[in-house]
Amino acid sequence: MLFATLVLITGPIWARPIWGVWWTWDPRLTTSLILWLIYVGYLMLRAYMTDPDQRARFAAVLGIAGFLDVPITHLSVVWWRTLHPGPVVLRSGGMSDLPPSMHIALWSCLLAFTLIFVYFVRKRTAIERLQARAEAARAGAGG
Amino acid sequence: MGYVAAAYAVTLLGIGYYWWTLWVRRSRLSRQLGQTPPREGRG
Repeated sequence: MLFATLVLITGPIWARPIWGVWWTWDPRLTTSLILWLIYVGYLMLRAYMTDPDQRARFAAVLGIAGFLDVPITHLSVVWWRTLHPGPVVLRSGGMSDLPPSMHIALWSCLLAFTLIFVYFVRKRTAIERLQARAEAARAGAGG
Repeated sequence: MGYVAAAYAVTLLGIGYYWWTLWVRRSRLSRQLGQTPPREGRG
């Protein structure tokens, strides 16, 4: 959700000087927005459903359904006509259209964001464990 | 250049804000459970 939000904000900041518009209903942008909306729905479901078992089951189904949008977003530049360029990092036959200097930027950013992602997942997992303990303590205190 | 600076600022602020929300939530839960609040982020 965090990274999807950052993409939807920083993408238009990049698009404005390059394309001349902040937003256009391009397939990749539209599928990215759909993915963000699915995440919003997922988080609302997790926040507002009270029955823990039902919440877990519904969230799992929505999470799986939402993930189907990821390959659609990735392949949108291949399937439809779009303002975005086609694949440049890895093309068929293992060739790359990316300049060597951009490889350093790309892979270092990918590594940095992956590490940040792992850090946040670990932190969120610890918080969810604390939350479960707090709920169990409240249930125990309530009888 | 202004666009690049804006993109960097949004990214850093977004990650920082998310980290802060997690820290607040963890501190509150730790207090509820009677634990010492996490040290991370202090000072």
